[in-house]
Amino acid sequence: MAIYNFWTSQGFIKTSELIKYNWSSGSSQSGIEVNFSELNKYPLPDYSNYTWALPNTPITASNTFKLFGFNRGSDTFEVRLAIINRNDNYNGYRVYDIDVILTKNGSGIRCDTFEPLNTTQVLINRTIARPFTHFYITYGVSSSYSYGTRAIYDYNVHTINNNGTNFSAPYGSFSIGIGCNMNTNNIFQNSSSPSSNGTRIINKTIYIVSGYTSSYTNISEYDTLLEWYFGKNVKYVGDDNISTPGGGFGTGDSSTDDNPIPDTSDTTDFEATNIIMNGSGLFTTHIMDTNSIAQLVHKLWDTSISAALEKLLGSKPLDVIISLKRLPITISSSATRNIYLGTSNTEINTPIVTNQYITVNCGTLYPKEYWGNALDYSPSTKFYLYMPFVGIKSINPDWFQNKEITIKYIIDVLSGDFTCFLQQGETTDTIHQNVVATYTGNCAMQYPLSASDYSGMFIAGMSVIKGGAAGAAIGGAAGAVLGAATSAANTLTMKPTYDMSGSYNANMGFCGVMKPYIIIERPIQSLPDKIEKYVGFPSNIVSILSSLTGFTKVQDINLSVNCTLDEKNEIESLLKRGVII
Amino acid sequence: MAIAVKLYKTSDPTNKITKTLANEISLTGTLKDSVDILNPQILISTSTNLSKYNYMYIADLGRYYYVKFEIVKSGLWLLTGRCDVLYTYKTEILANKAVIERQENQYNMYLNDDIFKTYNKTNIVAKNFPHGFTRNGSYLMTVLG
Repeated sequence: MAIYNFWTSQGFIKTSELIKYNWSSGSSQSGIEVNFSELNKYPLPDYSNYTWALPNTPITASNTFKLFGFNRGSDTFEVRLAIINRNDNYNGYRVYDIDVILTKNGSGIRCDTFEPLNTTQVLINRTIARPFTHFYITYGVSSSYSYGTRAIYDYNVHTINNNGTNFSAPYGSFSIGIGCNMNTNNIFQNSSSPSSNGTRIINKTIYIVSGYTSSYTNISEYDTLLEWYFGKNVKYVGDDNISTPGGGFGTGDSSTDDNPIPDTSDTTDFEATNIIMNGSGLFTTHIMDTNSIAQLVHKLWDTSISAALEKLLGSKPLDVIISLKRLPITISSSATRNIYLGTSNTEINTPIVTNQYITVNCGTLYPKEYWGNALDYSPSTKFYLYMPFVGIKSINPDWFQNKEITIKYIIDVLSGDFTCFLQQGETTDTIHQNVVATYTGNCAMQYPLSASDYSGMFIAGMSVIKGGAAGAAIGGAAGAVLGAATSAANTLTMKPTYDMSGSYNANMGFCGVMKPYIIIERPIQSLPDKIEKYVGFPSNIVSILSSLTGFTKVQDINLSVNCTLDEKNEIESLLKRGVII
Repeated sequence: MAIAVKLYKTSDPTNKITKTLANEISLTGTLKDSVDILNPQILISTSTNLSKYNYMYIADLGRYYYVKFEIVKSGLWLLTGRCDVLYTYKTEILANKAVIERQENQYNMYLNDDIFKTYNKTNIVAKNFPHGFTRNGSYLMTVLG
């Protein structure tokens, strides 16, 4: 038996989690409560509790269990309820699939009848919503609880005005009900009758009146609610009516499988590594500013100090300076220290770096589906990421569509080397942020401290320029990609060699865009209006044809019709070409 | 062989299972020669102009037909039927279960499909992440000692 999730006041729950209702034969106090939503906006309708209908005679073989709908007053809508399926072998429970159909321009009462015989256990299991009708109702069991000695069911009814127009009625927008022995008098006991909403007894028949007039002007609400019922938020398992994943060996639901790698991910996040620098006596990294640099240069070129240092160190004072560089991040520190050149105190006091690694969190973006169909995924949609000091990278949109995408850098301030982490996470799950890609590079702009340093850097820089990448590898990337010019794109997406050599080619990164961005290339859909009426949309379901309406194209059928072979072949051929039901 | 026919007008598409039939008239004709029940031919003598009808039901054959007319001579019509298997076996057809490839109302738009046609041009957007690097940054000097 398929397990369905459907919306309840507690959120989506599975029918298997429902408490089954014991429709006890002989009981005079079993009943069903009908619970109407108040047509509030998506996604969380408020629920109004209406009084319950109580059959005061037991359900027996001679009694009839009816679902009914009623069109009230001057409404121009027909509510029709029908039991379309039942299953007597579901753990001893009789299961009803209830189809709620609302069509406009109807009138009067339509009843569909089913006799439960001596069934003692009844479970209203499933609702089929009909989006093609004027209204849209889902009807299902959400929970059961006891009221005194009575077992009571909750039902949820969602309605949406499909075409965005108002509808109204003198006594309420529509009526819908569920009960027993409707044809017999005194079947239902009356309970309270609110002035506008609730249970009413008219001619011995109980009507549950919504008493609500709705107005929906934004059709997207309808689409959104439709998605809740038929989209990704409703998971069907083993159902004939939807495509199921997998190769036929699993259910596609790790919660029911003993799967060592379930649907939910472990967190593969990282932690910033705080390796304490300094204090070793080997080196010290000072956080400089232009003023302190100027002071230091003055000291270095002071001949008396320079001579003293050279005499003391046996080498030039510049030799004690391992590196001078600029990193594209603001580093602050409360620890300070005078700059020592060897053992000589320059008496220039600056903050010093205490942690070797610094994390730069560039934040999170949430790419959302644009068309709400297969076009939102590869190969139709393309995602590119520009990351400073890395360049533009193509990433898989299937991984990030409707999910979070986060970029973090961890930078070694000693060398300027970094690892850029690309994280993916569910927007509804702030815990599982998984690293799915990494890039490495260097973001330190090295400054020459001697003529030989400068010469080396110049030669290396020129070699990059000769390679044709230097000017374009770092900035203005989006414009060229937008133009889709291959040559420009190649140039723009070409990385400098700094991520391989880890050297001063990173200097050029400072000329580029300093903030990462995502580039999304979306297809522009051309979808003729109402094309589904002519060729249908992809379906891939198994269904009884009578439960469908509109254009239907059959893929496979074991046709059972009492006719001639020629007729059977023609019917099959027509069904496979597409018919209108 | 005399046979009763009912003629109708219908404007429904031929691939619609349930047809809406209107303007029913009942006539009696003669089956021509041997009967192909899928494509029967019937001679009808009537002064009624039958050319505006396009649908026929023959109770004796239990089938609905699309029909075309030939005027054999004044007042004598030759009706040639072509069985509409969809409407004739409507109830039995609809009771069948099938794998549905395409449907107007029960669909899954995430299935890849040729129906999703696109322009050759594309729409490209760029969106900045909230944070990034700073161009000025920090100067770091590492010295021995």
